[in-house]
Amino acid sequence: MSDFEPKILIFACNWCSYAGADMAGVSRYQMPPNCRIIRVMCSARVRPEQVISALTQGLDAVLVLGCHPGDCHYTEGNYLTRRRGIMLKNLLETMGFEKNRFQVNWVSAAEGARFAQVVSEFVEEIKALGPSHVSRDKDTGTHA
Amino acid sequence: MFHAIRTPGRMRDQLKDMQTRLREIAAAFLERPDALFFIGWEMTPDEKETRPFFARNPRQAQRLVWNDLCHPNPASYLPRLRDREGMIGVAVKGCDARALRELIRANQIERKNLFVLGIPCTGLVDPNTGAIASRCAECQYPVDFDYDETLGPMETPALTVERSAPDLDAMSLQQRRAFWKQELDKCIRCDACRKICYGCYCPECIFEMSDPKWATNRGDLADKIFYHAVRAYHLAGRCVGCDECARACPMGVRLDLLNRSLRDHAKEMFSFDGAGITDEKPLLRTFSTEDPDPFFGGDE
Amino acid sequence: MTVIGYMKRSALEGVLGDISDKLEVIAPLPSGDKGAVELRRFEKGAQVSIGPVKPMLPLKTIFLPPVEQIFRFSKSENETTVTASTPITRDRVVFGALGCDIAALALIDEVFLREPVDEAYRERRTRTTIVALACEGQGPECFCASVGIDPVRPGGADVVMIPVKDGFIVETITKKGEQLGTMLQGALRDPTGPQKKTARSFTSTSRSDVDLSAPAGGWSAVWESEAWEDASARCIGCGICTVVCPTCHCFDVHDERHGNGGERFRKWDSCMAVNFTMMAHGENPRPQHRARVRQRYMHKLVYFPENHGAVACVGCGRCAVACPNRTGIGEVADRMREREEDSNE
Ligand code: SF4
Ligand code: SF4
Ligand code: SF4
Ligand code: SF4
Ligand code: FES
Repeated sequence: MSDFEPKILIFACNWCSYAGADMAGVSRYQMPPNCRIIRVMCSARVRPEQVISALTQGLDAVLVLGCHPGDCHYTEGNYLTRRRGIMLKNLLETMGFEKNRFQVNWVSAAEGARFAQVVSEFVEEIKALGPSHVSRDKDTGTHA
Repeated sequence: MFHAIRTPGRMRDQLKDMQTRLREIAAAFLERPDALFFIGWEMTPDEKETRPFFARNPRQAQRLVWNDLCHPNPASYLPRLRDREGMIGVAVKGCDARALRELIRANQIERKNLFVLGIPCTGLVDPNTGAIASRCAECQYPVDFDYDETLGPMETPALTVERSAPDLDAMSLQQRRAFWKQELDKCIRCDACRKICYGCYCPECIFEMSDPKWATNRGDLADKIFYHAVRAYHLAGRCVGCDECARACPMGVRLDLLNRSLRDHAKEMFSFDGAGITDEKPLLRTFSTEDPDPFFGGDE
Repeated sequence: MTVIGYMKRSALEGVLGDISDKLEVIAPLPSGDKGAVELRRFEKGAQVSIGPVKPMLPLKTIFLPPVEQIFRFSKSENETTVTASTPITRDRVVFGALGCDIAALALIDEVFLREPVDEAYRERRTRTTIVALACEGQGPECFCASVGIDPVRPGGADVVMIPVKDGFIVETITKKGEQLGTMLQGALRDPTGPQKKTARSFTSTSRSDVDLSAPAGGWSAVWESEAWEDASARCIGCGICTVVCPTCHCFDVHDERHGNGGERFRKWDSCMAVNFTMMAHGENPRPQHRARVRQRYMHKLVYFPENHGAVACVGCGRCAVACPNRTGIGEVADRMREREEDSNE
């Protein structure tokens, strides 16, 4: 599956992880071309429906990035994200998704290198998994 | 017109006794000038099952039944009646009482407008097989719930019931995938499972929104995964395990297994007791700094 | 109507297999592990489940599919291509259709074959031969006999198969039926006297005492009746009754876009759904639950007869079986009539 290029969605919180991405950019880290990053104010702003929607509408994987536990700009947002994430991850696994198609991770504003590492590892992992079993025909939305 | 299927004779008499008292209590309630109706159960026209019944006067209260087929959850009608002026009587068994507690906490109905009759349930039977319903394996009565009247001590019955198969956690990924493909192929997206649920009371459901349009309408596997994952997730930590959704499904989709797996995981990961048992905060509205962090590289 | 012979039950799958070389064959096939059946495409080697249970989804699915693509489109740099979808590619035959379901097609025809004609529906209709199974009454819910349907030789069938011991007596009714009859020839034998006799005296247990008639003073007299409150109190508005009903035919058209393309399709809709009457500007002229419930029965029992001359119910009883609260149309009609006599029980 080495030539498989997954489509990956990353949600990154404004205060830590997105700043971390910027930092990675300053250090000349090249974002893998298969990733699209969406900036959200807090990781807790990501609705589980958004993740499920992405995974059923043609994306291969979703990564949610927030501040490290205890460091959320809104004090407790990422703790909520963690709980919700665990429940969602279990549900997705129960329904037949591989356990790594959806992940949550923590990257601070200063961790440009960590951002690069987390994202690259994630991309590699998804490449190894291959396309999602609910992939759609790109142009019509119908199943191939 | 009482139809117990495999409930032993001694217990049947006891249930019949409770039914008599249920009717008396409902009739007395309906004598009150501010009483709107009393929601309980009546037999279906073929007398093989029960269904919800809204008794409006003492005479109609005589149609109410209590037996081991009283599956429907009368509390699930309360959110849509929240703006009615007057008192509503409602009969609740254990799982219904948990739903009711959740509804009151979520401000879907005001306790002061209700007359709550608690019924000690000894387990229901499946009208087709006669076996004890699998949900009763997980029965738990709410702790210290405030009933107006009860038909006996409101305690979790001691039942020996097997959990229904299959056990999804024991399956391989491929098996789970195949299982859900087979189940979701049957689903016709009628949404009965969502509309029967006590907890589906949002004024505008995500599946009905057109702007943004969350749910597509194609009805293919991906749409059904979206529907079922979101439906189950929205009930995470709120599902009381009444299995009404699975009972309502005309196609026999085993969506009860999704709810059950979420309940299991909540227990395993967060020691969450279950919805409506106590007044503790809802599962996903709270957290602990000690929550597990199973995502890779969580702490550095 | 001509008796063309006797066919052994055990020969059925073989015959269908042979026919499937020439036509697309649709038959009741087992679905899931609970003994349910479903009308689906028959492939060689499959076991047909003819007779014992009514498919939960009616025959209309074959002519008005739950989801039906109208066209698909895709866009490249400077060009947009639109490809119309083909409703069906081969002539078809449906085996084992039931009287109630076939009678319902005549009602749906009133809507889809009138000007403006729905071409996709017409094509499916004209290119499909219908082989009925004479129905002895599939369950306690059946009441087609109450609404004037002959469950044994239903009007609208091209061929009828009447169950006799270990097989069927096959009768052809229409020209289309005769053509199909020639394909069955190889499996037919001359029927014996007793077989013919059983076929002639074949009767159904379908109830004839369900009363869908109007309350005293007509339906308009109960328009504002409190009885709708009662009739809708336990209804959860799921709309299963409309999904399983062989005469319900409302649909909605959706455009969905994904990436650089998309499709237009139509999909069944239900008067029980909140969004059924939702307008683009956000106003819903039928926001109350009880009004939606009333609409369903009024459409079947009042508006459809006014517009097309017949009650839009064929007595299949599916609504009562599928409803989570087991409320059927007969019960609602009773309720509305009763109400006038005993207006405050
Ligand atoms: S779970 Fe079963 S035993 Fe417990 S209250 Fe509900 S129906 Fe009764
Ligand atoms: S009730 Fe059954 S068929 Fe209807 S949407 Fe739910 S799972 Fe699907
Ligand atoms: S999700 Fe199903 S089992 Fe859970 S509360 Fe709702 S209807 Fe009951
Ligand atoms: S209204 Fe009910 S009984 Fe009549 S045709 Fe429709 S589903 Fe069948
Ligand atoms: S602001 Fe970063 S997780 Fe809340």
